[in-house]
This record gives sequence, structure tokens and C-alpha cells, in this order.
Amino acid sequence: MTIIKRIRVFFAGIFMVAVSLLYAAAPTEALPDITAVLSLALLLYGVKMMVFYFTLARHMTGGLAVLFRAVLIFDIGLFAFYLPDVPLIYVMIYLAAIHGFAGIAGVLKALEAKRLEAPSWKLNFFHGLVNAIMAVLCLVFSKSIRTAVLIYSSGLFYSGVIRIIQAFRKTASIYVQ
Amino acid sequence: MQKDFHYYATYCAAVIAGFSHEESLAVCYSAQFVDMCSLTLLKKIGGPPEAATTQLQMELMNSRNDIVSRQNITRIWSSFHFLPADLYSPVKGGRPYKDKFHLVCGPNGELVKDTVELAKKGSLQAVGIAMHVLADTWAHRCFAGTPSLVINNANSDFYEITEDNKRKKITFHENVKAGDNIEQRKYIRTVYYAEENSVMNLGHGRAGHLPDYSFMRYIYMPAWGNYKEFYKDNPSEYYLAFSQMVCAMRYLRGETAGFEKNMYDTDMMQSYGERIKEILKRRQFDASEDWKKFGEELSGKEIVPFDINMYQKEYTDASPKNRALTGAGRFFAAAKAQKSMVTDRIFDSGNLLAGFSKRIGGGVK
Repeated sequence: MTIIKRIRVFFAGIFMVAVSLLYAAAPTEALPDITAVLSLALLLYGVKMMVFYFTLARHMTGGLAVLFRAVLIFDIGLFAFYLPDVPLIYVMIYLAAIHGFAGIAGVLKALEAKRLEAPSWKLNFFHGLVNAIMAVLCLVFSKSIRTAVLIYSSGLFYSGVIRIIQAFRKTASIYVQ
Repeated sequence: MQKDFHYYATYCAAVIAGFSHEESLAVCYSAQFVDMCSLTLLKKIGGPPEAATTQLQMELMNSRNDIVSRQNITRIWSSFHFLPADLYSPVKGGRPYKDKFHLVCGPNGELVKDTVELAKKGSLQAVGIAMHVLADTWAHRCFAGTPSLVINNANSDFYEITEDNKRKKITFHENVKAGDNIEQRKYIRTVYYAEENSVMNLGHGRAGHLPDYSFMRYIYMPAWGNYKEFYKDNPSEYYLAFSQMVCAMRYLRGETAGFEKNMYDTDMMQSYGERIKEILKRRQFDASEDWKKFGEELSGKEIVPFDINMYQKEYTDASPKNRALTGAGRFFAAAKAQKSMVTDRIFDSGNLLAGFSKRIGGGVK
């Protein structure tokens, strides 16, 4: 990792930890913010896909589907942004899906790493386990705003701490000589 | 390509080109080791990390999706498995698209010639690496050794061409445990992942193992092909690959004056053509036994099975001073030279997808 990247990752980690603590302190007020962030994420993703279509995917066989998806996602983002109140259950399903996917990916990575006797398997397994637990909690406590925000905050806190650790971790740079 | 071609067929080609049994084993071991020499293995035996010639699935999954990681991936896969056919081919599109398109692999490019020339100065291990790279230019044509959806993606319109030249639909699945089924024409492939730079879009994953099976003849639409169908005749192309390997190794032994693109060994074709075609056409996942039998007939000696630990043990048992003289040491030196050469050529073409490298014996570019 380059020094600039380390600095960026470190401050991103600090920011995530700070926001998670803020949300945990005031769960009821945090929910609109969280849904706004989710809407904004969809809008940005839609724009990103449009840029991808016009720079690269328009040359690809079947590339037009990328444009259709981009417009659809952007539209959903706009729709969500103007909703005064997104039902909590959708927010929780979204969170559960994200954590669930990350959990499965982490455990699979850990299993392959273990099979190959790589020492990183324990860390991968731990990441996977934490994410899987978060996914289950999201589904179990899907009716409580307070719990929802606390789960989201703890996920954010965990990701922030991991980023801070990553910023200080030694990584080997490979050069072709 | 798989072990059957990189190990056993390469042994056969080396013997036909005039190498002794022991030399041929060194060449084919090195050719197969290209598919084994990952960063994980190098760390285990204390080898130089920059000599990695492949990446394990786990390493790819762990690599970050940033420019530095993508350049590392591109250096490895473009240098050893998807050698670009033409770094300057004309194509419509902006710079980002052109850069990716120029890394599409194919046979008889300038870089194949450069690869063989580089091996001329090297060891038997360098010859093995060059043969792996050369053979893969045939098998992996149309795919690029860089993560790219717009180049490496393929839709579901795949058809196998049967012996009576009829189209039979090929279906795909993502169940690793179920594997490939020749009879039902059901093959495994990577899942569609709509992220341009995802490692899921590296190489021929979207076509499954079809490019690696020597018997396979199929039609599909490459992502970059503007909806045109592309016919891939593996038996014919693998045959040309074999012939070109013999030609290249005759040159590397000093038997012929030079190696040029589109040069094939006609003597070999006359003497062994039918036998080789027969092996290549047989519908089987692994042709190792057929190649092994053919190779043992050629040399009259037993071909020992590939053992991944052979290089490792020799390397770790040697004193640090003598490690460079071991088979693995020579392999690492040749791998670094190949990677450096290809990275330089890509960089010289104005394409930064593989990053840049220090020239061996020269300054930093």
C-alpha cells in the first residue's frame, strides 16, 4: 500500500468510527441519515454505471444492458431519496444482504486459505463470522429502529477499526526487476 | 491449457526437437511449473515474490481492487498465460477501451517472437517457460490477462461443433462440485459479475475450461467482437501450437537459424501428424495418458509424473549462495526476465495497465 493510500485508509477508518459512535448515541435521529446515505449510494452507483457504459461497455456485446441497469438504479435512487420514510424492514433486508454476502465470502476465503495452509485463514474466518452474525442480527431485530441503528453502527465501527489496522499493517510491494 | 499439454505434450515436442530425455524433462517440468509458481508457494520456500507466474484463487480474491493490484495481476497473467497478440492493433473507442483491447491474447504476435528470443539466452527452465507462454497464445486467444468485463465477458450463446459439423448447445453452471460433463455438454464457468475490473472477469473464466480442452470445437461471441461469432477449433490450433513449439525448440537448440512468426515444423507434421491429431481429437478432459505413452515411445524412457515438490526441495535444501543454480533458481530468473520483457513492451506501447518495470541491466523507465 502506498503512503497516500495508507493515509486515506486511516482517515476513512477514523471517520467511520466517529460516525458509528454518533449514530449509536442517537439511534432515532440516525435512521433518516442512514436511508439518505443508502439512496445516495444508489444514485452514485447509477452514475458510475453510466460512465462505465459510455467509456467502455458501449463497445461490448450486450453492453446496452449496462445502460438499462444504470438508468434503473439511478431511478430507484431518486425514488428512495424523495421518500419521506423508507419502511424499516427494507433497510434491514439491505443490511442483512450486505453482511450476509460478506460473511459467506469471508468464510469461503478462510476455508481455501486453510486448505492451502496459508496463515491468513484465521483473520478471514473472523471477518466472515462477524459479518454472518451481523446479518443474523439484522433479520432477528428487524422491527426495532434502535437495534437496527445499533447493528448498523457496530458494523460501521468494525469496518472503521479494520481500516485503521490495515493502514498500519505491513504489506509487501512486488516489483518486476 | 492443462498439465496434459504443458507437461506431457511439451516433453514430446522437446524430444522431437532433439533434446535428450533429461533435458526434455527439465523443459516440460518448467513449462508446467508456470501454473504452480504462486506467491503463496514462493513465500513458503523463500523465493523472490516478483517471480510469481500465476495466482491462486485465494490470492486473487484477497487482492484489492486498486490500480496497483490490477497492474500486478496484469503483469502475471499477460506475461505467462495471455500474451498480447498486437499491442498496436487499430480499434474504435477511447483510450481506456483501447488499452484493454490491446491486451487480447493471440498467436503469432511480436511478443511470441520476443519470448522465444529471450529464452535463447537462457536456461532449459527459460525454454520451458517460453513453451508454456507460446502454447497458451493458441489456447487462450481472444481473452486478455487483465480483469475486464468488456473484453473477457461472454454471453450464453455457446455451441459445440460436432464431428458431423452440427451445432450443439453448450450450457453453463456455477456448481464447482458438479464439474464439467462432456456427454451433456454442461460446463462450469465463473458467475457474471458486472464490475469491469473484478477478478471474476480475468482471462477465460466466462468460457469455463473450454479453451483448455484439446478436443473442443465451439462457436461463441467474444465481448469485444461486436456481436460476431467466433469459431474456435482447439484440435487444429493445438496442433499448430505443438508444431510451433517444435520449431521454436529446434531454434533454441541451435539447430535452425532463426524463429519467425507463422513458422511450423513440417518434418514433425509428416512423421507424427496423424498420431498427434488423434490424441487431440479424442473427447476426454485429460489427455495425459495418451501424451505420456507417445512421449515414452519417442524417447524410450519413462516420463516421471509431475511433482510440485521437486523444485521446492532442491531449492530449500541448497545453501543461499547456490540457490540460483538450482532448477527453481533458474526458473525464477527466467520468470523475472519474461515478466520484465512483457511489462516493458506493454509500457512502451503507451499502455499502463501492467505498470512499469526496471529493465534488467538498464535504468528505470
